[in-house]
Amino acid sequence: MNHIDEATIHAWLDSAVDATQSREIEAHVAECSTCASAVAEARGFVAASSRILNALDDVPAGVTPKRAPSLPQTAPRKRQWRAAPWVTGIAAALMLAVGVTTWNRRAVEKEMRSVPASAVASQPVESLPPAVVVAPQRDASTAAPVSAPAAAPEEKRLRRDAAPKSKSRAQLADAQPRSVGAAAGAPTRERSARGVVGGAGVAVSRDQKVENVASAAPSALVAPRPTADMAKLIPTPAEQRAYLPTDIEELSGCYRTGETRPRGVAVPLGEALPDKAALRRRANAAAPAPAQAEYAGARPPAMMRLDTARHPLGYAVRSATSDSVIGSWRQINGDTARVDLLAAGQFTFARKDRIACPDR
Amino acid sequence: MTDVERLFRTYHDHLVRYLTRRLGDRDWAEEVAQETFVRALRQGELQNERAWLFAVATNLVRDEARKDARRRRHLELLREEAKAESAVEQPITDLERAQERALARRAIDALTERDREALLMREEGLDYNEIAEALELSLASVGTTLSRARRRLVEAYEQLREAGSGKREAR
Repeated sequence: MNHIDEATIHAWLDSAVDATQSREIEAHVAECSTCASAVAEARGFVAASSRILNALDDVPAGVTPKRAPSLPQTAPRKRQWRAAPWVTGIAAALMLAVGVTTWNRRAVEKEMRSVPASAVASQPVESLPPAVVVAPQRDASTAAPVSAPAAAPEEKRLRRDAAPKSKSRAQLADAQPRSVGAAAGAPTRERSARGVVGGAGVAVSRDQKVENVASAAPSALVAPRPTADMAKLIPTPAEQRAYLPTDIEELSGCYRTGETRPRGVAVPLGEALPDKAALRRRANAAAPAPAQAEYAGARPPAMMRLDTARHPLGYAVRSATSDSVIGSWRQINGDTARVDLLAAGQFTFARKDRIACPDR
Repeated sequence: MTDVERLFRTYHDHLVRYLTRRLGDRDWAEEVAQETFVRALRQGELQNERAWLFAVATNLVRDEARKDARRRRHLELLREEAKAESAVEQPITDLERAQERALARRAIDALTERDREALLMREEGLDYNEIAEALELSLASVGTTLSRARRRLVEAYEQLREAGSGKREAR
């Protein structure tokens, strides 16, 4: 047998030769020192090239979300959610400050209009229900000074939220080692298992990772994106359906509303709030049957169907018996869905409570 | 689990790594991988799915890469070099890693397209039959291609490293 050529040695090392040939090569290599050293060299090349290729993987890991197809649906909504609490917080503080001062003034004016305080209590129809009037008056003394400090922490939190974002953007822009060190104060900074390359590996939370990607594109010296071909990369609705996140499919189906109806005793609109004792009596009443009818909002259906069709606020909720859309639902996590029927209230369903849909 | 889902779960990570190594850009690699799976969806039944996926991904890369490969590669190199040079006070491991990556990138770019693709596919576990099918090669030439690719890659890497260390010492 002649010496074995390099290609065959590589094929042999890659287990790409049949058993007979493999035995022949083995026998030959045991005899021939030239081929033995050729095999050793080839082994070296296999290992070294593997190592070199591994070095190529040293890009910041975890920057790009793993399941790309589901990203466009979940990412923007998540961000809206993050914004919501402080926006509403500040808005609420402002409204409280403004509302309380005007309300307080009105109450004072009313009192000055010669009606004795005791008479107000005895004329509940004329004035606001006593329970409601008392509350803002008590709050009025504290609300105004309180609202300012309450807003301050909000603002601070806002600034803190913004800080890591701008930091990571700066890092992406200049990729200076200094800025990596400067970011040491950022909360729960993580490094990828392989370590950080440049500054782009600094990640604070999953959401911010997504933002990093968004801000990285223009600022970092990433090579230009193919724009002309982008359109064909966007999946069609049919393709989107095929890529539906499994959780959405597994959460969809029919649920009963019975157990999840808003708790507490409903009071018809326009009626004064009963006192606590009366509330307790009502709640403990043996026959709570009319409670649903009394509920001030629209009545939710006894059963609803969570559909996989898209809805502006998530996915569509339909009546279990007809096809009409009655609200929206979205996924809280793999096991929980939140339904919003607007006037008829919000419901949280666990996947285990899913029931078979009735025939339509 | 649908067939596409199974395909996605089985091959997505391999395909993205293959493409990232090939392109040097993770986001771009994700896009191409996604397009590949979209096409698999349209295709329906696949004979040899792994070879098919890698072949389609490779062709997509070739189509796009022809247009701006040169520019991309140049920018990539500039970025790596700028990073490596500015990183004087960087922890030594990070610096070394960045340099190693830049060297690896230049070494893999020194290969011919076919050698590079065959080697990267082999690294993702494709066997000789699959590589032959994906790259439209004869089975016999896969061994030749791979042995050449490995030798050239290692040699190019060694040369670049020597040139690099010579440059640093000369300063």
